[in-house]
Amino acid sequence: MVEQSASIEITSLVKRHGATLAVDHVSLTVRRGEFFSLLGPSGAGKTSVLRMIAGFETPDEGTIRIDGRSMETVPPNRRPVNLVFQSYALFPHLTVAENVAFGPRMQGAPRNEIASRVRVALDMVKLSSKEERVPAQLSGGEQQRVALARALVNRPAVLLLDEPLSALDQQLRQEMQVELKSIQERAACTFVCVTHHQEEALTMSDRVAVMDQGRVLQIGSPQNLYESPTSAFVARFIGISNELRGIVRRIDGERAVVQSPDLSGDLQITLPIHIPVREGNVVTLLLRPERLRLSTAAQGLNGEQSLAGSIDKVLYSGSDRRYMVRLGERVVWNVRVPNDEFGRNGLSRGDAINVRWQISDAVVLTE
Amino acid sequence: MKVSFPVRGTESPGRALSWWLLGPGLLWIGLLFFVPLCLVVVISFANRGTYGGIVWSFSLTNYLDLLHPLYARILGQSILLAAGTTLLCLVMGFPLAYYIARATPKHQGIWLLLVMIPFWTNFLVRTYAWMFILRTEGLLNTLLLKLGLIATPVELLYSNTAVVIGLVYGYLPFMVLPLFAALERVDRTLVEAAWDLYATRWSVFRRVILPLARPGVMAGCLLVFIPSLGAFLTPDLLGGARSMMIGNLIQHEFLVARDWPLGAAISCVLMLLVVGMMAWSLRAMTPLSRREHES
Amino acid sequence: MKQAGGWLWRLSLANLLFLYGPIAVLILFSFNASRLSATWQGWSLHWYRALWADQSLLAAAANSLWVATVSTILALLLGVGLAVGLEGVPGRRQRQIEQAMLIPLVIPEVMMGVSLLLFFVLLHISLSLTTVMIGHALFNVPVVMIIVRARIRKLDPRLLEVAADLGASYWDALRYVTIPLLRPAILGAGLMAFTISLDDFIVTFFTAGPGATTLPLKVYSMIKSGMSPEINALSALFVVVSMGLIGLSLFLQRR
Repeated sequence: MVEQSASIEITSLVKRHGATLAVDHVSLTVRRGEFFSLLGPSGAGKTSVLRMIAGFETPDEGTIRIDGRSMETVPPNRRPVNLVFQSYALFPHLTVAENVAFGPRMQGAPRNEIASRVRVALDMVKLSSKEERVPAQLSGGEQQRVALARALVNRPAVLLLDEPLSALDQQLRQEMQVELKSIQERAACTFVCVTHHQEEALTMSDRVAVMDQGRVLQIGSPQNLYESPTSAFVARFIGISNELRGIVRRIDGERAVVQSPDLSGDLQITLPIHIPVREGNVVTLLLRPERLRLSTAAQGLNGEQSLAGSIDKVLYSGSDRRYMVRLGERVVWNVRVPNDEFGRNGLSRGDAINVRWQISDAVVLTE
Repeated sequence: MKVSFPVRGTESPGRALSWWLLGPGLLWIGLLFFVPLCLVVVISFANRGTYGGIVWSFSLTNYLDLLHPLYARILGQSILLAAGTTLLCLVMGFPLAYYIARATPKHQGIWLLLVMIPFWTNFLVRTYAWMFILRTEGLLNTLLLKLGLIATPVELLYSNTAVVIGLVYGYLPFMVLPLFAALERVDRTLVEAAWDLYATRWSVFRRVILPLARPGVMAGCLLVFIPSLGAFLTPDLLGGARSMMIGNLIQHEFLVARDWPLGAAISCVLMLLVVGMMAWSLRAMTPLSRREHES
Repeated sequence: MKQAGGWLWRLSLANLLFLYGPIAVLILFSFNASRLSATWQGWSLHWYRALWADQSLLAAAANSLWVATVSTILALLLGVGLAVGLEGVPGRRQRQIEQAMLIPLVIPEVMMGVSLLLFFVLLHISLSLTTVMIGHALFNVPVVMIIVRARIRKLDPRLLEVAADLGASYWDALRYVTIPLLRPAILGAGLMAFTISLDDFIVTFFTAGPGATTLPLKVYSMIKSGMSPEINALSALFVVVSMGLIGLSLFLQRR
């Protein structure tokens, strides 16, 4: 039974390059109207998946359904999707308006309809004034918007974007993240975006699929992925994670005691709900930098776990300070402390300090 | 750049359609070039009819005829003249190519253009220019007489010398370009390092530059030798009665003596020489390129 | 760098002199008033006027232009088809076909002329201007192919993918993307083929029927019947026109 709100349904997709699996049994569903991102390092296979959706590469195994229709025998020029290339690939010999009009023209739309659709598309990306220009006369950001308009004018079921912001400089990139999201909402179109910038994926997307080495590791909302990663890779790839490995010594109802070879003393953890943990299991604790607090007080608050350490490094980044705290010979944790009072100098290198966190804030992963 | 229209289960339409574009061109060249060449080979084994037609009885007569000293001399002379032309082109062209290779990219473009432009003008006209210069009443003699360097005009035209001059003139660009391409690729730091190692300029040249330029030298020699071997116009206009080359012989047999099978046989011999040269040079060049890949 | 041999520069200049000298001499002396060629006797356009008055020459020129035009159009159609069609052929086969198509350019022209002659005669096709056109179209196809393919390699492969993504079929993409982008190269190739056809002698020599005289053939017979300054004038014209056309062609190819 096909889910009615599904725009794209990918089942067990496989793509091989010689002997290696570029895409390893990937399955996912993209819902209608959502902004979905494929996030992962280079070589993760995300671009391959995108190109298979678009029809430029054929899967070796698995199926792709768009709006319930199987794409197996459909060539790329007949699929209800449009792809915005990383390099934009604007037609250099056509003007902006002609570029955008290309799709409707190929579909045989009447001339006045083409003209109005082009106008609407260019309005949506705020580029109406540059209709008669040629791509060579546009800036990087403008070229990208033309590429977007050229894709959106066809009213595709899904818009595919391959690293849309990677060619832009930092400033422009931040602006375009917001802009892209609002264009998506205005166009009420499903977007599938491939990127290796986690910040981008988190900012723009409704849901993200984290991929590595051809496999999907976790799919979820940005909040989901950040606060409840299901693997160390996801935790590390999205944001900064402080880690500690240890063995479960004793189980006490909802909590357990963990002993880590890198530290002296025991740690208390809250057992994760959905993952079975037994004595002797090896677990990994993950803590986000902002969930930790630094304190010189002798006693922590109720429900807090405390570790003693010393400051290795201080990094001032305007809105906050980051402290690299050494807790053991091989354990250095990254703690973020908001800069709540200008002028105050905070802690310095070499200071002894306690790192504290709410026990329930730690994410626990089993091997 | 591949046209990617991949569709599983059906034949890629892009690929099938491109044969419609390729087809006519392939057919054209296949039909008008490769088929006639095969015809030439076949006819070389046939015999001449009494009035110049073809008698379809096959034998090796024509090839055996070519062993006759008359033909053998022309064959040998052609090879000699072509070799001489190639050598001269090499000697003249190498400094030029070297100079251009060391110029700035902007100047390189201009120089290369200058070298190629004469080639794009009519070969006939260029050969005629040398007739004009080398004749007994020609420019050179007139100048030399006027300057008092000679008493009577020198017989320069209608000789093997004139043929070689004409051939060198015609094919020099073909030597310069591949030489330039190879020399340009030579790593300058390598040459400078060699200066530290070897004392004389000649040693550096012989031990470093020349070996690295070898593929260019081979390509250039091939590009000059082959057309020179098959030259027709140059020996026809600039050469004397004794300067006949393979090209002229072929023309003679086809259009004058009307012995087509013999002419075809001579063509085949020329073709064999050409193919042989190319095969030999390919083999001589591959170990070098393989060596380059491994280092 | 090492001592920049001034002698290297001088040798190169000497080479250039060698290459351009004869042409320059030819052009210069075409304006020579004297009939006894090699002594300069003042400027004159007499020989150019004589050219213009020569009917057979004008007829030959007309033939040359006609042959060049038709054979160029044919070569363009076939050659561009080859160049673009090769894109759809996978790697190794593509290279093989490309190299095979280059063979006509490498072998001595005499062989091409002779084999075409044989081909026509055996098929009982009488020699005429048409057979000349066929011959010219033959050796110009590889020329066109090389020039256009050089340009194709520089095109962004993504452009064709985008076109397909936007709904273009194979032919649409060809018509609205590939060909427009190749236009300068196609024009340049056409000019090059046109010039080569105008200049050709050997293949024409073997494939021309009686009365099918082109300009180079006419020049040849003029030379064979004796030297005359008209030939200088004609040659000078040839050189200037060829250089102009080639210059234009290269300019277009580079755009």
